[in-house]
Order: sequence, then structure tokens, then C-alpha cells
Amino acid sequence: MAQGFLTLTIRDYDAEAAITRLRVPTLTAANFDAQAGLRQTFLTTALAMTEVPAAAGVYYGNEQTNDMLPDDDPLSQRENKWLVQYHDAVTAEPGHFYIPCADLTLLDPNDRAHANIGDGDKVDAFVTNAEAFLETEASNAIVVDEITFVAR
Amino acid sequence: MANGFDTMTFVDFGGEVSTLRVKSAEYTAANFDAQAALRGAFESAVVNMTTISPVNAWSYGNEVPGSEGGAASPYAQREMKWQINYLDTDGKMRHFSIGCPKTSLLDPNNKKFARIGDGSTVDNFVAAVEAYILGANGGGVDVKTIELKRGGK
Repeated sequence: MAQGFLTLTIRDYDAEAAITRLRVPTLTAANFDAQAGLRQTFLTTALAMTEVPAAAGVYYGNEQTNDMLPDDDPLSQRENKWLVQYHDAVTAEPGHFYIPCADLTLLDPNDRAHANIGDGDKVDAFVTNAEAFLETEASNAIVVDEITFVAR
Repeated sequence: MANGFDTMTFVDFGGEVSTLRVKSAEYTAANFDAQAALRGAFESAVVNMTTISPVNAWSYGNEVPGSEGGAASPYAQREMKWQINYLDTDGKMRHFSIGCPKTSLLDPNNKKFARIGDGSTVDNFVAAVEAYILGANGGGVDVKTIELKRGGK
């Protein structure tokens, strides 16, 4: 079951980080605005208890831990990664991220360094959903260019 | 302005942990359910690209970046903390900490503790904690003391 969380980071005189992480109500569409009000009041009053006038960063949302047991598939190796390279749909600035424990059955049989974009199955579904959900640092949509198998 | 984020944690065959963190649109009340659906589809698609199922842990929400510079006050030291001691719904005392305490809020008659009952900053903080923060069991918290602590990070 998902739980709400709040992380408050402040930086002291020497710019060292002090992090407070707390459990808060699970966010929903229905309580989102009410929780925003409670959160802001908490943050304001908490900072007033400190010598720091403003937060260095605030994270809030929902989280869930299923289990942290090792996977039972010996092919699950975090060193086997998909390198997902994309560009910003507006600025064309490139970016990338990694997915660990790559399923190597998804490699293109004719280009075995890459996942088979155009498989009409899992790889295409990933590309579609990544482009629908993710944003670049400039808050624009992404366009996936290639998905490369890397070992690191 | 806030940014949305999505984090997925994977534990491989050797027990090694990897984390995937990506950026998404800011969550709002208006788009929350639509974003949740997109996130769920994205996470399923990611899992399908791996040998792991289900993902071991995930989190999502908004991040609000702030100033990364150090505080102006030399009294802002993270090695000093307010330790907020609260009574949880299971009858146990638990606590959390906030760094860089403003020591002018100490009770002049009990200088190890913030002055609950000051009718001002400390009381406002206690009210906000009790209105918003949950204990380990998901219930409300009852703040008992706010103690000045030294040491740690």
C-alpha cells in the first residue's frame, strides 16, 4: 500500500545538508490541495524553528516498498543496463537514463547492441509510455532515439 | 515551481540495488489521476524491459528545488538539532529531527527544550506537526517535547 512522504532538506552555514524525512498522508487527487496547505504550514513553521530561512529542497509524494529481497533470476544483474537515449522534443537537447537488469531477449537480432525498437511488443510499449510520461529538464516531451545494451 | 519525479528501485540476483529516477510533469490535483495512470503504464513498460518483476520499491511526487547555498547565520549548524519527541498511536515514543535549531526558542527555565506553550513559533510548529505528520503506524502524532540535541549529521 502506498504511503505519503515528505523530505525537507536544509543547508547550514557551511552548506552541509540536514535532511528530515517524514511520513504524511497518502496523496490523492481528492486531498491534494488540502495536503498542500498542511504541508506548506508545516514547512513554514518548521523553518521558523531553525536558523535557516528557506529550504534547499522539498520532496513529497507517495512511495511503496514491496520487498527488498534479491531477485531469483540469475540473469537479473544490475550491471546489464539499457541506456535509453532521447532528445528534447523542442530544444533537441540530448539526455539519457539507465534501466538496470536488462532483459536481453529484447535485443534486436539484427543489431545486437540495441533493443529492437519496432518489435510491436515490449520495446515499443516502453518507448510509447516513456514519451507519454517523461519530461526533459526544460519540461518538454522526450523523443526516444535508441536503447543500447551496456554493461557497467 | 515544482517538477514531478518517479523513482523505481530494483534488487538484482546478487542483492545489489539499482535506482532509476526520471522526471515527469508536476503533479497537481487536476492531473493527479491522469499522471498516475501514465506513471503506472510507464513503470509496467520499464519492468517489461527487465528481468525483474515486480519492482522492489517505487516513489513518485513533486520536488521543489530551493537554494543550495549555505545559510547566512553562523549559528545554522546541522550538528545541532531539534529532536521532536512524540507519542505514537501504539503508545510508543518516537522522534524525528530538524537541523539548525534556533536556540532562542529554548525555554529559559528548562534550557534543554524548546518552549512549548510560547503562544508563538513553537506552538505553531507543534500544531502543524500534529495536523500533518503521521507516526509509524499511519496515525496522528502527539508532540510531547522538543529537545535540543548535539552531534550526528
